[in-house]
Order: sequence, then C-alpha cells, then structure tokens
Amino acid sequence: MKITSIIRYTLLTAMRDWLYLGIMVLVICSIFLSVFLGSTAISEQGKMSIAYIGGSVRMITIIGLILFVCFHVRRSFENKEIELVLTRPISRVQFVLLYYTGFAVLALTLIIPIIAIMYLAVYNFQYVDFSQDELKIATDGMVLWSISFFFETLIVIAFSFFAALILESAVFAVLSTFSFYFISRVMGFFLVSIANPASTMHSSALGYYAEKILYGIGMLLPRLDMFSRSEWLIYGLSDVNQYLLFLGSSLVYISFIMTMALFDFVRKQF
Amino acid sequence: MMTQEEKSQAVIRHKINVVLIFFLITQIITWHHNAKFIPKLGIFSEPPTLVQAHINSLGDEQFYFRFLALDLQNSGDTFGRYTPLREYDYTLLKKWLFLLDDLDPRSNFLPSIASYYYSNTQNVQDVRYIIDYLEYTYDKDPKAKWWWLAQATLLAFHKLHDKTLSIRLAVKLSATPSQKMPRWAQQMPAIVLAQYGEREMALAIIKDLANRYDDYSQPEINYMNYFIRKRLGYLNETIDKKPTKEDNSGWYMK
Repeated sequence: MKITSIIRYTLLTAMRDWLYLGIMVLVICSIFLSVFLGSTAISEQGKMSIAYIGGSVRMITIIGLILFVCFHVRRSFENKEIELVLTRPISRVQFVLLYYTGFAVLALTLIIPIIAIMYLAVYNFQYVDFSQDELKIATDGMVLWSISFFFETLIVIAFSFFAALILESAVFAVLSTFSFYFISRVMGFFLVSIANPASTMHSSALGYYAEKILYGIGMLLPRLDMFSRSEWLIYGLSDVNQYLLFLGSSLVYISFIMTMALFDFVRKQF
Repeated sequence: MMTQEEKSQAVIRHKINVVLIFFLITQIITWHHNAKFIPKLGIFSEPPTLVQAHINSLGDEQFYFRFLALDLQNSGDTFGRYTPLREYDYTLLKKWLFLLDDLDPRSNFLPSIASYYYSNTQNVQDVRYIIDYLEYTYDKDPKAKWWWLAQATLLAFHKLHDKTLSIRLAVKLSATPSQKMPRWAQQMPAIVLAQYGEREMALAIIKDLANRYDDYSQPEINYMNYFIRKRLGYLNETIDKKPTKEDNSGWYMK
C-alpha cells in the first residue's frame, strides 16, 4: 500500500465532509466580524482587530479539527474501513503513524491559506495604527504565531486521534478533547496557584487535594497557554528561548500521545 | 371509501392538530407573560480578580484583554441605550482600568478611553479616578507612557482645578528619564505654576532647564523667551542659547 494513499484518503474525506470550505467560510466571516468590531474602538482599531482575528481563527480551526478527527476515526471504525485497510500489507504501527501524518498534512493545508488571509488583513492595517516598525514586528510575530499555531494543532490532533481510537463514542472523544484543550490552556495559571504558598486553595482539605490532583494531571498535559498567543501578532515575540522550548516540548508530547495510541491500537481486537 | 385504519389515523392526526394549536396558543400566551421580565442591564459589573481574568482568558490574555477593553468602551451604551457619564460608577471603572492595564500594560487603548472619553464626566470629582489610573499606567513604563501623565496633569489642572495635584504630576512628568520626551513636557511644572501666578518659581524652572540641556532647537529657544517675557512678564530676562539641533517640534505627528 502506498504511503501517500492514507494521507490522500484523509484529505479527500476532509473535502467530502466540507471541512475546508466550512472552516474557510467561518474564518473569513470571523475576520470580517473582527475588523468590524475592532473598527468600533476609539483607538488602536488595527490592534483590536488583529487580536480578535488571532483568537477567533484559532478557536474555529481547533474546534473544526477536533470534530473532524474524532468523528472521522469513529466513523471509519463503524464502517469497517479501518479493518479493510488493515487487510492490506501495512502494519498497525504504520497505519497509526500514517493516519496521524494525514491529519498533520490536513492541518498544514488548512493553516497555510488561513495565514495568507490573515496576512492580507494585517497588511490592511498598516495605515491604520501601525508604524512601519510596528508592522514589521507584527508580520514577524505572525510568522512565529503561525508556526506555533501549527504545533498547537498537531498536539490537539494527536490527542483527538488518541481519544477517538480508545473511546467507543465520537461524542465522548470530542468532549474529552475539549476538556483536554481547556485544562491545557489554563494549566499555567493552576501552576501559579500551586506554586503560591499563600494560595486560598490551601485553606481547605478539599482544595489541598484538588491541587495535588491537578498537579498530577498537569504532568501529563502540554502547556497550550504558551502557544499561538495573540500578543505576538501585535507586540512580536519577547522570549525566543521560551518559544523554542515549548515548540520542542510539543514534539515530546506528540510522541508520548502517539505511543499511547499505538499501545492501545496494537492490542485492539477486531 | 376510507378503511377503518385510515379513519383511525385521520382521527389521530386531527387530535394532534388540535393539541398542536392548543400548545401554540399556550406558548404565545406564556411568551407574552415572560416578555415582561426584561434583563436589568447595568453599566459596569464588579471586575474579576487578575487570576480569574487569566483563567478566563484560556491562555490568550491579549484576545481577552481586547475583548474586555472594547466592552469597557461600550459599557452603558449597548442595546440602543445612551447613558450619561455622570451615572457611571467611577470606582468600578477605576477597578476595571487597573485590571485591564495589568493584563496588557503596553497598550495605549485604555489610557486613550480614560483620558479622552471617560474624563468628560459631568461629575468633575470623578476625574480623580481617571488621574489615578493614568498615573498608575505611567508608573509601569514612564518612558513609553509619559504622554498619559501629561494628560493627567492637564486633567488635574483644567478639570479638577487641583493646584497641589497638578503641580505634583507636572514635576513628576518633568523628571521622566526619556530623551524622546519633548521640551514642553519637561517645562510642564513652569507652565502650570505660571497659571497659578507662581512666576518666580516658573522662571527658575525654565532657566534651570535651559542651563541643564544644550540640545535646543531655535523654535524651542524662541518659546522659552516668549514664555518668560509674555507669559511671566520678565521683560529683562532672556535665554541666550545657540540652537544645536534642527526643529523637530512636530516629531510626534510623523
């Protein structure tokens, strides 16, 4: 079986499910809405709009990919498509890795046009409230934001794929991934509370144990609050080392999740 | 000719139609009753704590900041309402300004709406909260935010008519360690003191600034001499300096 077949199959399914069109339409609508809302500000209209664009585009893409991956994988199980593919000369390990690669390519092909549209929108603001220096910072920040956003989607796709492989229900897989995303996005602030000796969480036994449990869960979660931050789109990146550290740690986390997916999938009885 | 089963089905359909109409009418009556309960729209709610705001932001403080900042700008003027600024609770506004400034201290949006919009309240004493905020944001980054302390000084002078406060802010502004800050901002204590009739002190400040710095343009020297002679009335006093830089008085417009 050709390596590219599964990747092409994933992309074709995404097109068949109107994922590309759906996300693009929503992204364009959100950009127009963001520009409109930003323009109602008394000052910094361009910066307002860009922050709204960054936040809304990220949410639309992440939600779209979570829904697609979970429902696509569960449907493939229910239609016996996965069993059919496994009858071909392909190992289960190869299958899982190729499937994930297909989703990664899907994310990349989604993000590139989105970034192109965002760039046009940002470029539009050069005469609004960005000086030439600020515009340079903003466009550089957008490149870094885009790379970080791609890595964020890779992590979310890995978890959605893992959840859809091990859980029997697509709805449950989607809800699990949303929970994972939410907790990973706010984990940094839980750590602030945990590290604070004067935290009010320490005032009750329940709060104390909740904090310990969160700390334990936190060790198994990525720090998504350090990815694709909208402030980079306006003020640029302030700490390159930290940025690179979190990109690197995302590779560790994706490997960890994919190994867990393999652990389950190679034992699965069809 | 209808069969027995068809007749039975027709009776069921008829009953469903009647029940449907009944519930439609009931729903409309219920809606009319419920529509009397209109949400009470306030102006400002109590702001969250900074930690709560960080958690609410889901790791993207900039997006959350911009969302709340625009909400703050439009507070009281949503859903077709127009609320006069005298009805706003400025103690709450100050809390919101401090909170949002902690979320993004680099943005100039909040000081803009504070000094150009919210300072226009009919309750002049509420301007004090705006001045507190402008000084707070200035203290975080004096070099970048000196403009807002200048606004605070003008508000204290022109709106509050608070001599002590306006002089204190003007002196603070004058001491800002910024090479980019224009001379008029450094001369602000003299300008404010002159308005209060403290001519000797104003003259001393202008002369001190003239002696302390050498990089003056011709228009800046002209202004100092104009100020001393026409505004302070010292016809025999003069600043005798040679200009050492080109006129850049309109630098902030570029």
